[in-house]
Amino acid sequence: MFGWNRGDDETTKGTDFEREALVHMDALYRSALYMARSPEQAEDLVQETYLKAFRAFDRYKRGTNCRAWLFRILTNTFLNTKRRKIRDVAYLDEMDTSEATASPMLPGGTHRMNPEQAFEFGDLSGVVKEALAAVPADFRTAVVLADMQDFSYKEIAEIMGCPVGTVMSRIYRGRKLLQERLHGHAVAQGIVQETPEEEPTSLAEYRARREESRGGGS
Amino acid sequence: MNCSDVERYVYVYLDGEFGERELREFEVHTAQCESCRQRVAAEEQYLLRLQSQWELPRAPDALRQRIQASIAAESREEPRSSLRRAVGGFEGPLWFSGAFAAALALVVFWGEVPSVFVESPSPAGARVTSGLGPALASSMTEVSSAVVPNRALSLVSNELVDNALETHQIDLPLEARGNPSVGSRFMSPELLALQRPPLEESSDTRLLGSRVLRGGLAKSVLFAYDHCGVRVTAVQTMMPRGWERMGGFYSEDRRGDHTVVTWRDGRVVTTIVSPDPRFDPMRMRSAPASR
Repeated sequence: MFGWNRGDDETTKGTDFEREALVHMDALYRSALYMARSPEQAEDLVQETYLKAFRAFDRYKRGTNCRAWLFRILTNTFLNTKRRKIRDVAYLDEMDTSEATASPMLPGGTHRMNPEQAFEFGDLSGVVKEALAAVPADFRTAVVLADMQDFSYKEIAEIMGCPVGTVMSRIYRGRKLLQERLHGHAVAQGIVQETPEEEPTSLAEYRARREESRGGGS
Repeated sequence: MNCSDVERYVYVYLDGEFGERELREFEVHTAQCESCRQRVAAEEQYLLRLQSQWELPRAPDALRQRIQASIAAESREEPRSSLRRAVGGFEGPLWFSGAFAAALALVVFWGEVPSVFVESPSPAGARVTSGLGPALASSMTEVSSAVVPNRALSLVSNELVDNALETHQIDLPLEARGNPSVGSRFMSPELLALQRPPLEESSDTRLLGSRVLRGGLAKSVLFAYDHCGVRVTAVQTMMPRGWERMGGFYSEDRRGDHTVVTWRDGRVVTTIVSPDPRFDPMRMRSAPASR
């Protein structure tokens, strides 16, 4: 006779979970694809996230921001795995990074950019994933949360468990690193010209340099 | 604020995260400083392109099924502990949770969720939509790219139409019913600009409710209407700053059983979906230019 009550609880949990949590699977999967190293890793990450979420679902307050809650689990799971790996098998992560940096499409190093040409990247589709892979995990995650998932700084702070100021700097550094890599890609593809390493600091210097180059040419 | 502050806080500005005072100071400086204005415009361009380039595939069906299976297994494995939490340590028959697990297992076998099991967004629903979405979206590409020769823009409007169609079909629970001023309380500050419902209410058009949609490309609000007994949905999306400067567009598209109407007004893109092939948006739409 008490079975009904309990049954209802359990059914409600399943139905609620479907309605509140499983609907965000596409969003989690898309983000995981850009956070993790491979589609397989991304799938594992999403699966682990849902398993943890289901276990903790009793503690989740129904009707609150479920998407942010799930992203918090996803992000924690992702960053913890990352940290564990670094601790246990440091070389693996090293390989990871060097592989991304060594990619011929994305020359490492910074490029000086001037405003007019800094943002001529050509076709971005397909390039960003690769460029983003070379950005450190914390910054990469912040960029995905902000630019793909459109979370506010406050939400990202809650998701990543850090102060808003940290979010601000992670987003800044993540976007800047990505920008540099994309610019590097554009240079490599011949979409934009490489800017001289040092821009002249004064008009006099600029003239002097121009004279110099003319003199050398003729 | 000086030039190095602008460099430092340019994203905070573009992300709309500044408080009123900082926003004013930032804008006072950029109004006077040409090179900072250029910097801001360039960064804005970068963000706009970055934010509209994501590949957004659906979660594979195999993953969906694996997750449902693992949840089913989980609720089979630990029904006692979770039940005990729920009912305060009472011991008793657990047949119902068994039935729940069986139902989930059944789901896994079928590969989709029977409609009696969930009343809202289901993978099955999503699948139905995904067949329809791209077809409509591709027809939208032609429409919007003809009007606005901007790749980022047409990509974005594709995604918006896709989302609006999907959202229309999965019948999301509404956060606020009826009165739109109640709805606006649920919206984050940046969405307050959207608080005016896109369609006017009349004797045959009633607002059922609204909800905030986050995820996907940008901040959106869904409005659901009952129009002559048919459920019509409108999704309003706040595009990043800079969209005001792009050309406006308006398009109507009929494909299959659905009518999709899209227009842009300032930073706001509105997409209306009606299941009625004879749906006439002009009869119920608020004038887009009146804002």
